[in-house]
Amino acid sequence: MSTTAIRTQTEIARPVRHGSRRAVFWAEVIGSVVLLALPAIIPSAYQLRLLQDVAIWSILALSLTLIFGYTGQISLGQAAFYAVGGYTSAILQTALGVPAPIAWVVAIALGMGSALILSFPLLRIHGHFLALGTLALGLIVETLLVQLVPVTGGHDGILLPGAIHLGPWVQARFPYIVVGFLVLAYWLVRNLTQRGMGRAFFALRDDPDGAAALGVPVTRYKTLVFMIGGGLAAAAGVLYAHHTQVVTPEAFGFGTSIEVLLIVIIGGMSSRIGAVIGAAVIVFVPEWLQFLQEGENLVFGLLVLGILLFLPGGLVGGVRSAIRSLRRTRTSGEEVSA
Amino acid sequence: MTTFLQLAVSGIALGSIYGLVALGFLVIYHATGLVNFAQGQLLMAGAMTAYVLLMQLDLGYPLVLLGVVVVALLLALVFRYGIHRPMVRRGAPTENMVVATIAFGLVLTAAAELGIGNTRYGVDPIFPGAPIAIGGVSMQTQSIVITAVAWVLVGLVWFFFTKTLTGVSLRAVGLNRTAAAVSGVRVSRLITVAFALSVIVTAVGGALVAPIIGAGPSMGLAIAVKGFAAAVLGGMSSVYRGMVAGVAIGLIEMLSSYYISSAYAPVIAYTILFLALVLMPARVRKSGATA
Repeated sequence: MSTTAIRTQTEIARPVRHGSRRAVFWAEVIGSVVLLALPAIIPSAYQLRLLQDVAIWSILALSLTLIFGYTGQISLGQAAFYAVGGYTSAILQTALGVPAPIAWVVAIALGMGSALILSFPLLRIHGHFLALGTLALGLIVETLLVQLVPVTGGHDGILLPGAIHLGPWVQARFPYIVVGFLVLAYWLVRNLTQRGMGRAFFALRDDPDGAAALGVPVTRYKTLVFMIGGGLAAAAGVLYAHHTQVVTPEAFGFGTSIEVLLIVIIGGMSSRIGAVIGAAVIVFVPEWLQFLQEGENLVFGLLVLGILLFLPGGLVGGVRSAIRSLRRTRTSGEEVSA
Repeated sequence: MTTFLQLAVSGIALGSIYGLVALGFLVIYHATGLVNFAQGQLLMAGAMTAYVLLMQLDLGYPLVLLGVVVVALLLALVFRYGIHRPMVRRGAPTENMVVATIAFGLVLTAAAELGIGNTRYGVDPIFPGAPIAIGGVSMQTQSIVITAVAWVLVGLVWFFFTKTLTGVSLRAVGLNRTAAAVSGVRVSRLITVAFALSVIVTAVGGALVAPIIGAGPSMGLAIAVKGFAAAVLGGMSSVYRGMVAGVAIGLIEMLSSYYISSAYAPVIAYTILFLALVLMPARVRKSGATA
């Protein structure tokens, strides 16, 4: 695989032009404010539930976008860190009676810590092999969740009734916490991938040796991204545990790792907003296509194959290149008339 | 001792299947540098085809095997011309190819769930009847059949790669595609041959293992991971080393699930894969990164 071939596809990830950067910034600010206000606007409990689903998947997808989309480290085991977050928080609160906020902080710190420790063996391997290694890791965690019954409750999982552990007041306002976390995660990823650092990420993704030659601290950046990705996934797990009020191994298994990957591909691999859009697609499409039920995976599998073949930048990349080609035709038109 | 030998026999049989998956995986990997994450689902397709032809349509085993090969060939062509070649033509990066193989596997699983049903189905063995006993060790006939057929297949593949012009050309494509093309090798066609070979071997493996573990849409992943582990443990290189590593993994799995804990036996196989990858010599890792 030559580097030129890689560039043709990652072209979609070019930094935004100067003129539109401010517009993007304000769009992000307005989007964040609207998102924070959404739980107050949405009337039905059912829709509120979907909103939280989308937000939690978005945080998980942002963690993978950061690792996979921006720095090219493919992970098929992102659910492992999701599990660390969800189970740590649930176990601390139920078995040890730790107050929720402390349990959350410990769970996220543990997610980051385990990602940091695992980055030492994992970052020795690249490409397909990294995919295999993270796959093995995810499966190890999944099996342990099922088998370590005294700790994890096995297939029954751990119940985490919100009214007891969060208190009724917080429980009623939990949707705000979820979207708040999403906004925080979004801005964290945004600020990490802006300007020089963001370009350094793309550089080390497309050509690690070249990036290292230009003074990019490749290993340190990869470790950093891996750690933050682990923390974000753990945060998503923490929220999921309270959202569904139960943690079971199925929610943190291989299927989840794959679903996050699909979200990232559908939305657009190196796009922050793509993670949110992809999450919305994966939550809403099955709701709209109730009649498909079991065919859901077939639809998503075919959708992802179609996107990989015809729209490698995902939905966001498709929109971007459409805008760019519009702009190009307009400017070339002006040149002709001038 | 008898228990040990009986476990060893089933371990070798199961391990031979892992070896076949590793073999199928390595054939595509060497020809194109692609790691095919759909290998397990292709095995599942073989097992499910065997189930439908044998149990639902009541065909005899020769026809069943023929059917499995035909289905495998069709899947290989779809995979090669519908997904792999268009993506290579568009210059898709490695990560996209990896995701594409995963998505292909997902589609196969979902199609099997929709078309046949999401349960584990029993499949009759090739030679029905009581297990045979040799020196007090009773063996399922299917275990012997699996081991024999798997090793004959490996022998055939070895023969193909070393003694036939097509096989040698295919190795040339794996070593240096440009040089092979310059020497008059039809690279694209040979890659299709590699896909066909890989999928057929894997699907036949699925048909062989179905009488022992059953056939179901979700059977692929667990076997594929052990096949990947075998390929990596065998150094991602020769066909027979992957086979030997597969047998080793099958033996470890069987013995550890009996003597240590059946609950944690899968963890051992996954840990082997993880450690084999991480401790892999840099030479092997590098060749993977550039391929």
